[in-house]
Amino acid sequence: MIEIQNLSVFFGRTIALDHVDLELAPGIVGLFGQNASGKSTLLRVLGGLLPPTSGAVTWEGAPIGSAGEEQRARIGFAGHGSGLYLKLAIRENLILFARLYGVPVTRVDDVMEILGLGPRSSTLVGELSAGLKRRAGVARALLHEPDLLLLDEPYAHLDDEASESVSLAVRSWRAPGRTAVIATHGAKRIKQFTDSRVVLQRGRVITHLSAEALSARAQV
Amino acid sequence: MEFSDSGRRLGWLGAAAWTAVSISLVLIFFVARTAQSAMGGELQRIFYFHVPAAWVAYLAFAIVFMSSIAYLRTNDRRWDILANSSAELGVVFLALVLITGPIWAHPVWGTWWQWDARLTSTLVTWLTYVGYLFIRNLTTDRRRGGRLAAVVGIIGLVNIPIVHFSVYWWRTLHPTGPTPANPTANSGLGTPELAAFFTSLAAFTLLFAWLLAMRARLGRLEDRADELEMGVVSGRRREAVVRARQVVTT
Amino acid sequence: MRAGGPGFVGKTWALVVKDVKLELRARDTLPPMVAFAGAVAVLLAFSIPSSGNLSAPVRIVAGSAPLTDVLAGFLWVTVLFAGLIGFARTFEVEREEAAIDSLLMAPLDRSGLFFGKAIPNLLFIVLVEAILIPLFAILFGIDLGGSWAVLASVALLADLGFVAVGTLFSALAAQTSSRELILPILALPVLVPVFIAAVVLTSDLFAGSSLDEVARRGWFAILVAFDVIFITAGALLFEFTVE
Repeated sequence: MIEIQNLSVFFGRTIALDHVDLELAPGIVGLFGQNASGKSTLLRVLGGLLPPTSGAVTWEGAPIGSAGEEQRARIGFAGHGSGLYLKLAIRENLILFARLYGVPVTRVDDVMEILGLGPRSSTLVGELSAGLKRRAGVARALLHEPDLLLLDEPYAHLDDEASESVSLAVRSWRAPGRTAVIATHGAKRIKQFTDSRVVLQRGRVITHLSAEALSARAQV
Repeated sequence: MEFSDSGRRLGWLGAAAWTAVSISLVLIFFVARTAQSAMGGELQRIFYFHVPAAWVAYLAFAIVFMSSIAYLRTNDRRWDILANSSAELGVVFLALVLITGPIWAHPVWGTWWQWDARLTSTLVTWLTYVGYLFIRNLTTDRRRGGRLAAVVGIIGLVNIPIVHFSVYWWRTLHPTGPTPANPTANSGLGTPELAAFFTSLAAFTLLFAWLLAMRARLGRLEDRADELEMGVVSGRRREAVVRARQVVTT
Repeated sequence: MRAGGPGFVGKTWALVVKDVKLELRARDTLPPMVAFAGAVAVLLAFSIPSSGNLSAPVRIVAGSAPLTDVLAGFLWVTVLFAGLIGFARTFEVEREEAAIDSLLMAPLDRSGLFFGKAIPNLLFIVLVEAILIPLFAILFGIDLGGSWAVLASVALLADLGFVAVGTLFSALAAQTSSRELILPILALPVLVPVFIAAVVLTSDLFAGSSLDEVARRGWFAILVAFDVIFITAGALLFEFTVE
């Protein structure tokens, strides 16, 4: 369970998140909203990369960002940048992160396989298309099988086939108790497998459909 | 309520500071005797400003150091405001030291500047804290700027003794003055002069405390003004969101 | 935590290897540092009246100074500037694709990130010196005799503190709007003790001293104290400069 209480984030005089209150149950959460609605900011706060201006965020009862290495080891994050090094091959990048997370190297090949990166494993990240970079970033986030997965626009620049591989990777990662928050501006790609949905507009939550609400709606 | 209380306390502090300054001016110019010409004669009176200003500057940097640590530990903006206010004042007072020094030194030593240990370490310290002030202006986010500045504020103070030792071994010719522990050491100062000196020291300290309190209050008010402004913006948005919600649900 | 994974040292080492590998492929930090240092060394040669006569005093306004003092000062100014040029780039590779976020999220203490950046920087500055010091010796006719090893140890001691301060402040500068400008403004005043100690010791070596005198040990002590204090400070404070 992720509990967000009265969360605000200001950048100078810009309001990115404005008094957000949310409770996210385990499962796959679709985070929707237009550009600059606060999706990326919310994900960065959830990842502990951005300290809130005010308010509190906890995951499984522990505050995000101050709970140290053990908590970080259980979070996977892929933002707008791939979070990788341009002059290293995909595989070299992933092996580096496998070392940092203490994950066996065989896992690197598995993740690349799932995301369809296998054939390009020795290509430098700097030579990849935007879509492949995105997928490589998602591979890095999934590498250590996190319990909290945060993906920011994972479908950007992806064609249908590539999108399907990302969705497949997320669905095969999915397990009871695990939470994913996936931000996209279009609901199309993830509609079929989200458990709950949150819509942000200009830094505020305008809709939060919990799992129960969604299933009730499906029955109508 | 709290507001007017703190205002009143500030008023008393200011009155005490300016009273002490007036008394010390009388002591410095009418009670303290003129020094030997080897020490600059009348010009030696600059010492009553020079040394207290240096004391206050180093006190200010000690406050920067402690509030920087407190800010990094607690993330409480008030510590950051205190650190910043104190650093600004420290830089001003140390500038005063660097200006009054050469005015005295030119006729007495025959040169505006000497690469003496104290002069050098003072200049290096001043440059360090000028850098501290730069950091804030080069960041857009106040909290981030505060955190970065705190790192410089800590490093700056830790480095002062190392700089001092290194330049001291390098060379030194600065006169060493009286201290509370040994008030007449190397100075040729008598009772009237010591009275003037320590009164001036107290006056500078009070003046610094008053300026610091004023500056810190200004910083807190700036924060408060920002909060209020953001509250207004946020309120306007809330209305827009309520309208949007109606659209979504209908 | 998962058992059997690499510990702090292993993870930090993986970061060091990563940066060295990136530099080997991109070659965008070390070569400019070396080129800069070489160009400055050549320019400085034009300001020395007569090279080859190290005992000849150089007249300056405030009196005169032995040429060895001047040369030692030149050498260390060049090293500091070349170093700061290189260190300013420390966090470039982390910015390009927001890799810094991935590192910050990884289960590694922030001090590991500090050492993971400081060790490659140390390597770079040592390599710059390995080229620059012999170049100085040739250009200015310095005969170090048997004191090469002593000079190397002086340089290494100076480098440790220099790199600790440079790495910490480059992380700090990377968070501001004028990275290249703020780094020297912050670092140079703090580096004064390292600079003085390195110049004094180097000057003695240039003049043919073997640094046996007790008085010189104090300068070594200052270098060691500076190194210990700033490596510790860097490791402790680094987390506040990244976030």
